[in-house]
Amino acid sequence: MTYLNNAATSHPKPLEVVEAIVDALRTPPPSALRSTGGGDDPRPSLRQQLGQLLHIADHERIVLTSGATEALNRLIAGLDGDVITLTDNHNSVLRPLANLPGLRAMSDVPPEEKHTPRHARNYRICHVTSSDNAWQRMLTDDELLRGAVLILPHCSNVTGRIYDLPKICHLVHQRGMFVMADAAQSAGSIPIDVDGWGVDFIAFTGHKHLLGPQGTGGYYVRPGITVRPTLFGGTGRDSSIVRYKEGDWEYEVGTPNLPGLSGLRAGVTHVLQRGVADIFQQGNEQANWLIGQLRTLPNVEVHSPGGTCQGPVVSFNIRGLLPSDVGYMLQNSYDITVRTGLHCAPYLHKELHTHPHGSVRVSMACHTTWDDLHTLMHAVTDICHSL
Amino acid sequence: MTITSITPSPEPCAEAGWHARQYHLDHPVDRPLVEALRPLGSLLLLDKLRQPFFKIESHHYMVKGILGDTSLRVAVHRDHEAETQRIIQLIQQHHA
Repeated sequence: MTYLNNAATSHPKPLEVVEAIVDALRTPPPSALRSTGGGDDPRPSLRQQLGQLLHIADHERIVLTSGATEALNRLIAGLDGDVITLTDNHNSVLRPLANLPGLRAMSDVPPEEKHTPRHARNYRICHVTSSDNAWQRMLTDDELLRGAVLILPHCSNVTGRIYDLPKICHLVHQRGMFVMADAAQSAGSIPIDVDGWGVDFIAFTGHKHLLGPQGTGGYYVRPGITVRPTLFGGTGRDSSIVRYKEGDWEYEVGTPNLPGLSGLRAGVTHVLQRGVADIFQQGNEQANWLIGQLRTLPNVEVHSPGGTCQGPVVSFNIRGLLPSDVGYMLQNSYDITVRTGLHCAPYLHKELHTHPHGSVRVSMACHTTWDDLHTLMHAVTDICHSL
Repeated sequence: MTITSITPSPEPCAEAGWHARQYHLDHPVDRPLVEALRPLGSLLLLDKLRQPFFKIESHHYMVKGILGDTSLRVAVHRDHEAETQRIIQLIQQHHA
């Protein structure tokens, strides 16, 4: 099988990831703050490694979760203030905004309420296509109060477009606003400097480019910002406290996924040893090569920008065929796994005029070979010539 | 031809808004089966491919597959699930 669906989940995992999970299940559970005795708690060293990878000095502020979706939900629900977001966000941002109580779309706010003190939180979704720089204009929009949070994907899971986070953080901070980066596609595949760029919040998943298992991930919040917890339970600290004092909160509750986190630690070790700069260079070269090859085919439309701001994700369509049909042929005739459809980013597809059927998405990872991409191009060429 | 089992589509997102299932057959899909299904809707047949792809589509449902495979995908719009009986009937009446 040629696996090119790494934006969904990376495959195959390095052998050491598999071994770390098996070892964690074989050994007695660790004794973190308890008297049961036992093996290795991966969390302290995992946080340290994640801090090294993402350039977070205060790595103890990294909260481990079941993935980016949980991380984003907890951040969005736990914040105060308005939210600005972009059309190429994933449903893990769009759906919490649309469904969490206490949030309402700016378009639903009556004009007379827009400049008055209010208790509700508003959110606005800005277009991102190159012909419409509304998301940049919003930085001068007075309808949104100071303290609003801009949520954006560091790398689009549809087009692979990489946002210029250092520049965006600078502009947003000048407005007294905050930046929340969804690094689901970029953690482990694109260099990230949280402290250097001044990213206020970052959410990541473990099972994509960090090469860990599903059910792992986390988030980080810059010192000085408080997020109200939305999950409560046992923590192993002081069981006599039931009601927390304001601000004295805990964020990792319940039994942790230690086998999964052991696997994630092995995955992050693998990424650090290989080097993110090297992984990014490979992914960027492969994506640009693929975009160039696809553009030579007369009936192919490529939706990815290419160039230096291109991550390891490429989306395209073949005119005359639905993306789901192309995916079906690739899977069943050529044994090539890609992903087709809307990729949980419905608003972006409306802008790309690919709604409701979406696109064919090819996504690479550090283990993707040039042979994989040649195999794909032979198949796509074959399909195009059959029309 | 016998449908040996019907399983949920492995790609629920790809056929969003449709109720998609994979029909597993006791014989490979052949051209006469595609012809038998043709009255269901418009036919797309890419027969220049090494393994030809076909799709028969109407407003309410869609059948697609690869000639030579022992399964095909049937997707029905959520409001028209009863119409799958017609597809099943046509498959079962076909003699491989």
